[in-house]
Amino acid sequence: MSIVDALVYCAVLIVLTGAAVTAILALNNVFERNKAERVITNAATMVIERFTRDVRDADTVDLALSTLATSSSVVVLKNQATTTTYKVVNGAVVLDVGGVSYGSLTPSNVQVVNFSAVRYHGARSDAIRLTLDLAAYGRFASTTKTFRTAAVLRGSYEQ
Amino acid sequence: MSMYYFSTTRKGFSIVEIAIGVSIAALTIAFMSHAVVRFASQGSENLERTRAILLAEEGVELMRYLHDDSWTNLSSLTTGTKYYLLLSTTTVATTTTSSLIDGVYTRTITTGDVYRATSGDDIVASTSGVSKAIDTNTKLVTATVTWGTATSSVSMSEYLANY
Repeated sequence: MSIVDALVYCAVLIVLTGAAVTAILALNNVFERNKAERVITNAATMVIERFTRDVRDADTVDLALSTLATSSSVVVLKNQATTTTYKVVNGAVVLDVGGVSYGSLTPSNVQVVNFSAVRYHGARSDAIRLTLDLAAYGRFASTTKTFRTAAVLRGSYEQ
Repeated sequence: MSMYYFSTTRKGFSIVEIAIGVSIAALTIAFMSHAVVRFASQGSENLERTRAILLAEEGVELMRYLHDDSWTNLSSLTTGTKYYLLLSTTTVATTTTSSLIDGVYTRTITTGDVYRATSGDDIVASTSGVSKAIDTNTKLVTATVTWGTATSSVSMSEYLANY
């Protein structure tokens, strides 16, 4: 093997190794970002499905105990059976039903950036609209996304 | 003698071997890069679709709220025309002015006529051959959310009746 051969081989090896390392790092970044997005999607789905169901099941929003239209809203829903409270504690959405805490609805690796609920009061029904901003932080990637939902309080028809 | 001849003609790799080796490596890297791109776009697509579904659901629910408030909020909308929701912290309204949600999504609300069979009052398609008539006290409300290059979309529909 001549010195020229050795240089060519080394150059080829360096280029290929560089390309392989770049691809692996990119794959790792994508994997981390996808993981963060999956965690956020699952957390948002969990919170919003439960929240929507409870809002639909409610008769009224207790305006005296609720704090609406802020980034850390407290939503107190009432029906004939129980009182359900949603609030943000230490960056997590916490559920309380009938005075019993059901703990956090969001996993520890997800941070609630915004939990803003507003109430619409109509002639025959009330509705709540929720804006939920969640953030997940990984080693190489992080992501923050906004999720929105609304629900009419079905019990409010009878009020 | 033959051994000596063999050893003097096998000096390292030939150019063909190098070309084959580099081609295999390049193909492997290209495949990995393609997989990375596909993996990344699929993961983001799932997230964006989930957000879009929630926005469509929000649209239908807020139309229900408007319907509850007054039937004319629905009946006054032109069938087939695209409307958008105008939201504040206290009011919900429809508008024909387009707006982008979260810089990504466009949500349109349309209302459609509802046909009922003359016999039995079942809802039937407008193309149905059975004897039918438009029910002016029922509307089909559809919320459609599009994003990206508008090729991605989700829709959600609900029948709302005047009562």
